[in-house]
Amino acid sequence: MQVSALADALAGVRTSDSTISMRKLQGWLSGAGLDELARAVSLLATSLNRAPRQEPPGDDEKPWF
Amino acid sequence: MMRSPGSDVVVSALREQLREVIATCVAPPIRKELVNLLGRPGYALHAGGSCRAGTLALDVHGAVFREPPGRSALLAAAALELQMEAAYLFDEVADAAPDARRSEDLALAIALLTAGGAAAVEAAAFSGDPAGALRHFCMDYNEACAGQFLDAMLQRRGQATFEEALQMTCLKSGGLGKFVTGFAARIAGVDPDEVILFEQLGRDTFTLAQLVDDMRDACTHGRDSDLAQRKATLPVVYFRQRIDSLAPIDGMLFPELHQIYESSGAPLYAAILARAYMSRAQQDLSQLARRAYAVGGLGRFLESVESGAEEILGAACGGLVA
Repeated sequence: MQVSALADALAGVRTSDSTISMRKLQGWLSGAGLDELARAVSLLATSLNRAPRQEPPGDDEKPWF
Repeated sequence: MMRSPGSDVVVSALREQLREVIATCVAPPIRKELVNLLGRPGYALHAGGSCRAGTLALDVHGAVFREPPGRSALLAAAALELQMEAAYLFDEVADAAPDARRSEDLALAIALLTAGGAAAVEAAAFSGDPAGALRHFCMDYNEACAGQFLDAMLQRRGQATFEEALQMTCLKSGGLGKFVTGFAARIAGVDPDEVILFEQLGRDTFTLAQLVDDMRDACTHGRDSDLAQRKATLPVVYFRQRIDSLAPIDGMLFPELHQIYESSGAPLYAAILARAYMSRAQQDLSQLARRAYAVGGLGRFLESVESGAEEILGAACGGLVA
């Protein structure tokens, strides 16, 4: 997965007020041929504003690593 | 066992198998210690312990046979769970400050590994290719060991590239997922060409879970946060490459650093990667379904990971995106 390219893309689409346009980010990634990441941005955008912040797992729930 | 794999009945059977392995494969002086260890919160014999490796292995069995697990599947699941518990314990020791209990826990971690190995040998005897199954059992677990090594080495080095952080994550947790589903599939007699599909599902699902966990742990309060410890997780690497001057001093974070972290883009960066791995896992599951495997239990396992992920992924974008 193109993790450096994604980091560059995020920096590239930030506006002067520090917000990030998901649409611009998706377009940037698609234009760079990073279709898997572009799809991930699209799917993530659809989940925005409908997810409350989650509390950390309780003591009984083992984290991964 | 009338209910589907992953149910409480199956987890109870798995725990019973774990106790049997400990009673028969562990040296008497430390049997009680190992049972006590696995009874700690989060571990396999604790009432709230999730037994992720063992239940995933039993879901693979259910996908192949569409029936409750027999002795070979339970032994395989117990073997995998014991290796997973050893990895948890190692990680806990590695992350904790040195104390008098450290050496005892390390000895118990090795005891878990060898007990798991013994159970794997017994489980593999039921398969068509015992030597091949055991060879993969060892080699695939080695991937996770390589990930643990990279995790510690990159943290000590104090800096990492994005590629190194991804490699560490995929080896450390993705490797364990591949290890679990691959061995369970081999014990179930799955064709080698299709074992790969099960391995991909395990790898992508565990990598997703790790990325979500890394987002959760990146900037918690106190000395335990990944940022304070300068871990080489992807969100921490992103943050440190963008805002290095605000690195923690003496392992403590500035109070305002939490806000800076939230607005840095690091949570969003990790959320996009996690969403990509979620899609990969869903595609892996679809491929198995197209080959007529009964993926209901595996689907529920993935959903359990996704349900923990969706909220934190959504929250990662709050106030930052337009």
